[in-house]
Amino acid sequence: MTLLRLVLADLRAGRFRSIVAAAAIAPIVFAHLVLVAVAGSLAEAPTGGGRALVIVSSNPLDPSTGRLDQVTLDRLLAAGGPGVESAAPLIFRPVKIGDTIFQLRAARLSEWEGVESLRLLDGRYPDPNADEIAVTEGVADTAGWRVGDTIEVFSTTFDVTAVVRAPGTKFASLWMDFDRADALFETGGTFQSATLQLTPDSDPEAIRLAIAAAAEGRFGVYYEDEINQLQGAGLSAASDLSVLGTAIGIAVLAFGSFNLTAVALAERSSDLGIARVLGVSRRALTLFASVRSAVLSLGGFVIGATATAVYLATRPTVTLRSFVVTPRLDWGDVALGVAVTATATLVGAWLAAWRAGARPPRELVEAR
Amino acid sequence: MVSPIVDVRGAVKTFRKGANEIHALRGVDLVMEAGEVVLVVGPSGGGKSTLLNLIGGLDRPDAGNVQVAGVDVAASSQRSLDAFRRRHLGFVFQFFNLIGSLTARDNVALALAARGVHPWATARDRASALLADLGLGARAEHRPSELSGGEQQRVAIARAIAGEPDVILADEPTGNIDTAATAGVMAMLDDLNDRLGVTLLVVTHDASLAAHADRVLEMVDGRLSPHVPR
Repeated sequence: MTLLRLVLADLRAGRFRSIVAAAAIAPIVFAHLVLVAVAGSLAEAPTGGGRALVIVSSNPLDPSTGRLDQVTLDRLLAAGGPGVESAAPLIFRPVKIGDTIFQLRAARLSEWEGVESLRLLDGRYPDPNADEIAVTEGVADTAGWRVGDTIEVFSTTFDVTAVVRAPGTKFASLWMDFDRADALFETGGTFQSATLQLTPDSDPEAIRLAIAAAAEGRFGVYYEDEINQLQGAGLSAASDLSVLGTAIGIAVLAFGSFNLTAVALAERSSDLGIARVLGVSRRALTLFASVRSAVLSLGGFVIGATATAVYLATRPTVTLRSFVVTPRLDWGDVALGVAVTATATLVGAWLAAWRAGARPPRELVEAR
Repeated sequence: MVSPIVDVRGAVKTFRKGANEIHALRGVDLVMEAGEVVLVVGPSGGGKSTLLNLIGGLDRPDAGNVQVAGVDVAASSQRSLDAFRRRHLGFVFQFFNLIGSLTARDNVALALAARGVHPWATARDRASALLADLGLGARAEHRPSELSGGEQQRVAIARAIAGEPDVILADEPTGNIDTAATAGVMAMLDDLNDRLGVTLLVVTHDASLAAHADRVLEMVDGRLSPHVPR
């Protein structure tokens, strides 16, 4: 307690500098926690299943760029042969509601459960002849929408009639009947992808290769599982890399802390020397510098974490290309961040203080 | 036979600056009995402060022995010297050497905490009482920059005696304060010696302080000899 009181007294004496030092740590903590929250939500998203094929844009990480029409689809299906049992077109659109961009998907109502693997959690499926819409639980959680609420999409007011559960990258999305979306967006019968159901005795790989050949590179043909993994992995990889980057940034705080402490101690060599003259051990002084640094980094972490909480509260969803994710920050992530930050700064401060304390007390006192 | 509290035999210390050698101490002997007040006078650069540093365990001799309060200072580890300073010594410096970020009270309390007085509140209470004894009760919450030179030196003395040391080493304690404050500081040191029997080794270039000492020695060119008033 004595040590902590001395540290606090010391930090108070140089209030402005203490605040600046703590504030310098906050941005990197903020970036790290936001990215961890995004990566965490991607890791949580369940993946879909089945051996269905999906025809999408040649860039599967951004399906909104695909543009299929019925004529093209029929040609591709013909190339696939009799093994293709059915094809379910899907309209895929990022839509802005308020300040947030959501992923809107539209498929024929009859295909929501069998093809798209949606499951009704609350309410009833929308009436295709009315301005009605469904939201996934991911969206319901973050946007706070419930059955009975109304939302405006493309200047039209829709009633939310259902909350559904959706797998994989569909986890946080809005759902509409295909024809209603076609009319709303005036797509002229075009759509972004199609999910193909195959007959049980067909060879899916042969069909996939045949359709891919017919698409001539304009479209990609993937297994539904594969595309879920691809999209999820693409986003996760990008996100994980970012998290790694900021984690390294936090580790680099050790060097920052080393320099900060080294400079602070160099400026106050005489104070160190006086403490040594009073009989304060090198170990105690090192501990003092380390605790001082840890308090500063903790202050920076609190500022960064608070900023993260405010940011996530005001931006419940994050759009990564065409995908909308719902960042979630759990206490484990925060605790890990605290541990990494504290360790990094402690190591840096300890090294700097131990080195500074190696000088003979006489030299330190005379440094005044 | 009672052992001397300070026993320095044949202490040699040489500093090297590039190719130059500065012989700060050339075989110095100094024996002090407990409760004695010894004044070491002499010109700047004569080796006075170096002698004080060796006795205080702030530096090591190149040759010779330094024993203080039964501790072989020259041969002790740095950790042992930390403990030695905590238990046996108090220091008073020319430039006061108070810690600027701490109040007068906390400067004194730090010395007490280093000596093992815990919790911090107890150390602070004792520091307050000590400062009040030295007439600084009203200045306890001020930082050094808010105190006069004389007040700062009195705080430094409070800090030096806080741990009830056997020996106080004072390096030019009046070198940076005015005449009135000098009288006050010396009276305070005299009083400490009378009341507590503290051994005092004071180095100064001011020979007029000789009246406060049991013995006056002179350090010139690294050699210590009895002072002969001129």
